[in-house]
Amino acid sequence: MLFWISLIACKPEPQSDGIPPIVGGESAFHRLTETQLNNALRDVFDVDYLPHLSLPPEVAVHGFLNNEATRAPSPYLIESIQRGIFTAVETAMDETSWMGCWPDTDTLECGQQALNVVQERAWRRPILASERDWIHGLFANWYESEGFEDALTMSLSVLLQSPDFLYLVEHGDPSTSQSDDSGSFSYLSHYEIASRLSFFLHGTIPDSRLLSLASEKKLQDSYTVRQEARRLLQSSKARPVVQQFFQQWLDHGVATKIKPDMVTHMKTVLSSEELTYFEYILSNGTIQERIELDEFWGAIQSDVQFAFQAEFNLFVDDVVFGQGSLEALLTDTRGYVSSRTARIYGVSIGDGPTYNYETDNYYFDLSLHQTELPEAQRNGILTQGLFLAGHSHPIQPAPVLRGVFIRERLLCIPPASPPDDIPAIGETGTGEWTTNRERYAQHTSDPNCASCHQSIDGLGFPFENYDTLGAWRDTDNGAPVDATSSLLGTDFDGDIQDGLELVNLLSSSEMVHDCLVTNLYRYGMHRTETDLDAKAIRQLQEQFWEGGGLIPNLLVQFVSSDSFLMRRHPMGEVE
Amino acid sequence: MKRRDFLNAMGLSASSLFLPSRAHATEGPPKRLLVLYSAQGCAPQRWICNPFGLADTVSWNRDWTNWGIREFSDSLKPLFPFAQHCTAIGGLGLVSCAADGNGFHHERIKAHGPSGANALWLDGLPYTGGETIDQKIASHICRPDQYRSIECSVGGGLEYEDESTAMYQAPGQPLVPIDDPRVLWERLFGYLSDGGDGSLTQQGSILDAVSSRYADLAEQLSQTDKVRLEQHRDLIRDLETRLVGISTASCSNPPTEPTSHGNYEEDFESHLQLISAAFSCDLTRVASIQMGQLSPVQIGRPNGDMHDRYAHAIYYDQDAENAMADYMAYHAAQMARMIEVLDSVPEGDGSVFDNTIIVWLSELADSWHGMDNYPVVMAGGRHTKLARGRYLSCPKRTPYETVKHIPNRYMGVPHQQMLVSLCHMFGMTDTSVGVRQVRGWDGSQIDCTGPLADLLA
Repeated sequence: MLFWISLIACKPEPQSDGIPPIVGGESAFHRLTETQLNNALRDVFDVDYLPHLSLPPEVAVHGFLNNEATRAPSPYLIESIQRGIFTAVETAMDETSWMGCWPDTDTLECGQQALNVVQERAWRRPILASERDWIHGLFANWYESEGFEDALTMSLSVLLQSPDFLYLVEHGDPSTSQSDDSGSFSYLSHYEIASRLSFFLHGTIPDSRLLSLASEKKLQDSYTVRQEARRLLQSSKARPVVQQFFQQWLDHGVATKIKPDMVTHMKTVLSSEELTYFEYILSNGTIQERIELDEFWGAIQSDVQFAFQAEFNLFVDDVVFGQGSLEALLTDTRGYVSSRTARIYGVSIGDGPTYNYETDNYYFDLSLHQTELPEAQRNGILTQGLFLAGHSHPIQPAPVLRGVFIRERLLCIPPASPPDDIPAIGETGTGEWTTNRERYAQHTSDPNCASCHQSIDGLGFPFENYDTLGAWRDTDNGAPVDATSSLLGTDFDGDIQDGLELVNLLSSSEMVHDCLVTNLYRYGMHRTETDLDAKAIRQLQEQFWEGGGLIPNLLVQFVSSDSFLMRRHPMGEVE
Repeated sequence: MKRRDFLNAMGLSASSLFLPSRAHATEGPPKRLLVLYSAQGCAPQRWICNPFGLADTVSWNRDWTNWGIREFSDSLKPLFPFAQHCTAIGGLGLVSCAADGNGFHHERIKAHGPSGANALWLDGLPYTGGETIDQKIASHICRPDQYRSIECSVGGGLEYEDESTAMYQAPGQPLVPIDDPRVLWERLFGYLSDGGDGSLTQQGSILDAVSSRYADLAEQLSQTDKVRLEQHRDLIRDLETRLVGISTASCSNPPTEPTSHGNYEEDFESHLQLISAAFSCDLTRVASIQMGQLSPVQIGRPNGDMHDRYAHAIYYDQDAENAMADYMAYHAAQMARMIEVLDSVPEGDGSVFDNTIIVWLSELADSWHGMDNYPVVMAGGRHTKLARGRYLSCPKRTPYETVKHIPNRYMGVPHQQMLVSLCHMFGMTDTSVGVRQVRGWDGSQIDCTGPLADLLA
């Protein structure tokens, strides 16, 4: 067993009689995400292969793609679901093991038996007689007119397009109803808890153990839920789900912004043969050769983007399921490098574990190698390429983008909107400056900008040692890099020397720990928090901080919290 | 039943079981709307036409079909050969946007431009706070058995700004565009490619059963959840109706499937061809193409950062100003191409274009991220109600002060009036779109309602 698991006291919580539950705001009505839908279809049919079901892209809120605020259904979504489900059902019909009877028999009974299996798995709860009769009835009618195979395909399509499959339908358990100052609430039903828990930690339908615990009515109990959460976290199914949270929280998609200027940065990423060739074409090449060189540079950019993203995934996975702490995420020195990003980091590839990727980039496939990054330069996720190069302009890094990201995503204090009457500083504007830092100093010398930019740029300047690609630099335009800074608005304000000092301060900051909890809450509840959630979030924050910031423990605490296991009744809910 | 996907399974042996009434024989050709939406904004000094040197406080409206090409601004020159079909509107201001919070110019302007509504602020970030004009018009002109609207994009659309789409069906309800022409083709024409075998009835039956389940469950839920589920159910019913309409549409010669995705010019052309075919078959009457940010290479400059190097710098860098004039001219040429393509598709005694209005909206007003000089061009066929062949200059007399390179206490005419006029061109009677009034610095209520004078034929 991994050591973090043993850190959770494996004994029942003290009796909580008399302590009122801390229940958050009104529940979101969650529709499965594209990932969840694909996982669930695969597990409903228990087949090896189903074609991927694509949905229209989501629009993020606070970075999260599952926030109900922007997820109302659209005509194209409904079309995509229908065509996707139909195709999945047709493919599943090719493999008949899940049915139990077909192709040995194509009787009415066989079809109804197959429907029973799917309805229970997909709807994730015992099926009412009326619901069973309804689908059996549809099947029987279609069996007469369309024959066995078509009738079954049609009936399965109905079950899988039903809200009972596509949504987390939650009524709550009326027998546990209580109330507080803000209204009434109750536990979710045992089956509803099984679904919430499974979709949150495994991204798919509950497994048989969760369903049997639900049938034994054991899930309205935080001790049992904690045990189950620990079990689920040990499965490989938890890995991509946990990764997905970190990808959205820390803006994995920012990789597409990595577009370094060729002439400025080619020396960093090219091999010596490539560099000789680039320099030759730049000075002697034809126009056609220049165009081809631009294309080649574009492919190199994609290569770097992909490698930094893959590094992020491997790092997060290793750290969260290894040491497990937020501190390690921000300070661990391991890296995962491709031959190109190794040049950016100034390391050799080494002989650590290797991970091979096929990319759709026709120039190269990619291997990443685990290695140690120089600890005097690299500590954790904020000193890796994805964050550094993702928040840069083509020629020079972007301290403002870096600072804003840290304030928004790590400290949960998004800067105020910039005033309308002040234009942004352009990268190529002219002025009396040598270094990038000096150019941005205009922000903090102009009183119009200073009030906000001191607290933004103060978090960006310490990373001036990392250039547009994230490569280490001691000088900028020939002048020494000034990475000192004065921090404002944090719980670790004061003067610092450089990025590593900042990263270390962030890693032990209570604000940063609190902020991770807030973000996890948003992600796990599929909505933005309201005032009603403040107490619940505060409680989780205290547990997380006092427990040493262990992320797997936070996941366990979260899913066993009252907010996760209970449902506040919206006005007008039929109890 | 083994088919590539369910749309391929849509038969043509149209059972009339779900057939809605389609009285097209007496309707005449339908009216359509095509939106061209370009990223970034203009360099106003190179977009505005002012051949008479009039002050910007003067309101004027001239027939521009008798102008020479030198009277056309650099940004609009590609429309010169099509001037008789087009009307450009200078001097619009995003007054409501200027009054709606601070910062986030891309997001705020994107929210106000096509919807006219105040932003929906979610945790300090502005999202579009009302249905966009294409959707408003779609509600009026699309039949339930058609695609209500088609959203597509080229080069990722607004992804360059971390935005997914400019089009919203309701506050906070985005319609994310299809970027890959092959996917758009599949959505529109996939079913026509291999004929049918009578499964339409089956699909109708499935959807019918599904929607009854939504209705049953909705009854058991809270008001909030019920509304969500009913919206889903309504969309299922719409799809049921639509599938019948699509499969009975008269598409004698559906376009061939595009084979690639990722080339800006080719994707635009593919989308345009598919939309033009969809209009011709009356599969839909409303479509939009959101154009991603051009790269400097596309406007004949060395590779680099369009946004930072050129767009921001239009007022203090001659090369940047030139670049943004070329940038807008690139899109003006695309608008010309839209006219050309739609005009080449015969319909009745004329072409599909005769009954189509194309409107070119910009993401930003000026590319310096100001909120005045919001550039709009419309093109309309001869059977539309657009007053064609004009240049309209709206006066800067609105008492609202906004961020401007050259300080001016007055803005142009609230752009909502342009949106109201568009509605009127489609026979709608709305008197306002989105924000109705904004308080000016003189204490007066700035009226954003009513149509723009002289835009309607």
